[in-house]
Amino acid sequence: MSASSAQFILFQLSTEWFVLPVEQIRGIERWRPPTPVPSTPPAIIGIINQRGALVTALDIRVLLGFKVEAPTRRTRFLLAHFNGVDLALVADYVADMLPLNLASIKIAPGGGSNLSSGLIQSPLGLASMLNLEAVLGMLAVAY
Amino acid sequence: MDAFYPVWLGPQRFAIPATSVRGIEQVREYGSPTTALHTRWGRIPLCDLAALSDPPPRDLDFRYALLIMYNHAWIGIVVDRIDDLVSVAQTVLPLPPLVHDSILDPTISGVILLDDIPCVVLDLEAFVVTYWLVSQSNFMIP
Repeated sequence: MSASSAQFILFQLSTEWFVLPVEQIRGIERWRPPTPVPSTPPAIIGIINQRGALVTALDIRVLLGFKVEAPTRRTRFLLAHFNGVDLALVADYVADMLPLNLASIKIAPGGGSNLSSGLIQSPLGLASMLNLEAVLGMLAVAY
Repeated sequence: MDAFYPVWLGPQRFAIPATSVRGIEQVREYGSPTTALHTRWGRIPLCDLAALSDPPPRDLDFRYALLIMYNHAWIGIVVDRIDDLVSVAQTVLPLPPLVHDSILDPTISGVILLDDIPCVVLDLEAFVVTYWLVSQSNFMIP
């Protein structure tokens, strides 16, 4: 891997493709029903037990205004770690790990102020780079 | 070892510390909406735990009431089902950061693992204060 390239996880939310840097992902797990916690924002769908640790399950489709489909056999939890917070992100489908040339990433309009910090051309179509900092910021605004 | 009553509200299970429960009664009423239980201790007002999830009004008949004492008075907290008492060696776990930060409701006091599945622990006295006493008060807004 050259200094100008990095690994990303390519996944799908509804019909849209997204990527996250592999450094932010600790694992991929099959979806299982999270335990809902009353009085939380709709995007926080509950908590799961991940090998003895409680992890917040987050449905980013809610934040993006996407249609939320019922889980299928392809639904996964992307176990992410960002700014000291462990998250289980619902993904409708996790495709692959992609090596990407960092120079090929196009910065999203708005300078990354929304949930996407860039656009890349993946083998399966145009994908947005999910900005977890913005996701956590949006949740902070929600409560 | 701490003991908990696993209680069900629809498909969701909650854990209630056994130390806060003074009795369990079945609610058997027909007709007009049930708001109280008539027991050998007298008339006990009922409060539906479903208030946690802001549900539409529902028929409380043939459900169960956990009897607690609040401020020297009996109150029945209505749930759909109560499982056998369980003892767990673990302490109550705090909610993970993002969830903890988003909750202002003192009813949610933590989590225990039952069969390796997280189960939210409820403080019924806090529930009474947050959801029932407020609804019973007649606030005069000038």
